Amino acid sequence: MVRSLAIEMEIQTKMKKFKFNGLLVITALVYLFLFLPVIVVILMSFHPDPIVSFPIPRFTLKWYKIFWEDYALIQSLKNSFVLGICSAVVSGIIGTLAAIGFVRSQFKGKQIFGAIILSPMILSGIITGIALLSFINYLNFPKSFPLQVVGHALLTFPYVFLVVQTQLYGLDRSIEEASMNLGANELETFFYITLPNILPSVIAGMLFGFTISIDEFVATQCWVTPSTETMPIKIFSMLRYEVTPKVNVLGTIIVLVTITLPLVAEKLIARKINVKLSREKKNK
Amino acid sequence: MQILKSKAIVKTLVFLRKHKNANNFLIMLPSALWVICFLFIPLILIFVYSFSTRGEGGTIVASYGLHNYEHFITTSIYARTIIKSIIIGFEVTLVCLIVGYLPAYYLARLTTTRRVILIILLIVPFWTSVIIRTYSWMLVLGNRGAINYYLMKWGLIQEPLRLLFNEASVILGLVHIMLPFMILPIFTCIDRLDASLVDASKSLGAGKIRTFIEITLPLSLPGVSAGCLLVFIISVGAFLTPAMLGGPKDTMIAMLIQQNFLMLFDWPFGSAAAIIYLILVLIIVYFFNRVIGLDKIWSGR
Repeated sequence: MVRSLAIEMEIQTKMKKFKFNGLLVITALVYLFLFLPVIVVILMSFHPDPIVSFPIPRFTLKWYKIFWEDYALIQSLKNSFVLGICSAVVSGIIGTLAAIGFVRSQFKGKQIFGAIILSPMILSGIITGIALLSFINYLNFPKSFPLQVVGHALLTFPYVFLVVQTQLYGLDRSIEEASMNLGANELETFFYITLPNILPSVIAGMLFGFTISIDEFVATQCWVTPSTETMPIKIFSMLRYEVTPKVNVLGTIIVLVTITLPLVAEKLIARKINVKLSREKKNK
Repeated sequence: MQILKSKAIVKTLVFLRKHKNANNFLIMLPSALWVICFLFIPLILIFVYSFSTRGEGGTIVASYGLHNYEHFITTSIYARTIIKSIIIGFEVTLVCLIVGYLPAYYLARLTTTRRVILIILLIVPFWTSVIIRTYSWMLVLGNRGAINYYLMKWGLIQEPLRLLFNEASVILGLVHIMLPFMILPIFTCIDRLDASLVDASKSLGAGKIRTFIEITLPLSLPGVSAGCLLVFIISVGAFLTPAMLGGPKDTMIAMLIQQNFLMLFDWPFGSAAAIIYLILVLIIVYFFNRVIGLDKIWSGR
């Protein structure tokens, strides 16, 4: 009787282990599915032949050299970075202001206002693209770089809004009141107290915005002019004619940028939270 | 006198409060104007265009009617794109749910270090370029891609298989992009689940599987529905994946809108297609709201 119970328990623990491993295997497969294709792109950028084959016979940087000599591609890379920085700055400003106003005010229809602000995030990029395009066309403005900045700011500022808003809810308002009591006006309080305190999330939001702007294709194709072509536009038009290893190089660069920046952003948010936690611990 | 004084104080206080609120409204103004000027007013323009007529050389003639919508519904190629979009959106959602649920459950059951690393790894592809991730499938599935290379090397096939440019490759590419959108809400939901309920169920004699089916699964449904809503809406409006990995039969609604605006210069018809797409999105959100309740989804996060 006792023995059978022991055996039963053993079987149960074994089954537990088995089930645990089953879940682990499934999860590992899903992660493999998520990462493998991108790893293939990165590896292929060092591959001597354009045809996929593994293991790689020898690592080479020749595609990087060819990429570096392609003036049009480098230009598109520059365009994307300039556009990303401009739209990150614009969306950083309007997104932060919107978040502060939104968190600090109470009014009827606040939820609706929030939904309005977030709506560019939910709609397909093609809708935002054609809507702004026909509006500009209706006003008889030509497509231009400022139009792209306006559009990208529209697509990215909701992210700034979300990130900054989250941190604002955690901000201790008594320090602002103290500053006001000590004679600082609202503007001074904002620049000396509020802004330094929420700066990590503002920067994080802007980095997210930059990443999204760098990658945006669907809406951008409606606003782009030949001289302001961005990287995704360039890649898409290149792929229409042939699969060239230059795309692998560009892909590797974009992947590195779009992976590093959000990680930096996450670090910034996380550090802020850690500082806050340690402060709370001290208070206790 | 006293009363007058207190009245004055109250008045100034009220004024100050209003004033403060006014400041708050002022700083919200740029964002509100941005969305209204550059998205909502343009959308009204699109709505008006959708009733107008295409003139010579892509101009827009102000003779209004329902002909664009009629053309869309009665021409089977166009009507098929919207049906195709819904079908692909549905299939992608289903595959994401089947593939993503167990990893989400596994992540929520993990303890700290490994879990943080795995969550960050899940967010990384979230931010990685969509166009590059879609392109990467061309390297894997293409005629000279990885799979065909190995199959031919091992002598399993003589001719390369046509794995690209069909509905399956579109679904594969979309699942690849949408999977984190499904896993994250489900993970959050299971993670917030009250652990004592699971313990109670176990101590009352229910086995692991029964506890899962009767406790964890029903309580994770808000996360499941949030994930499904996100995945379905985003994949119905997908452009890049069907354009890059799909064949001519896999035209989706976003591609149709893009073609009419940027290639055929038939803006009135493109506008009608855009409005039909918008109505579709509104209907989906409305039904989700009716059946599941969006507020439940938000609170589930």
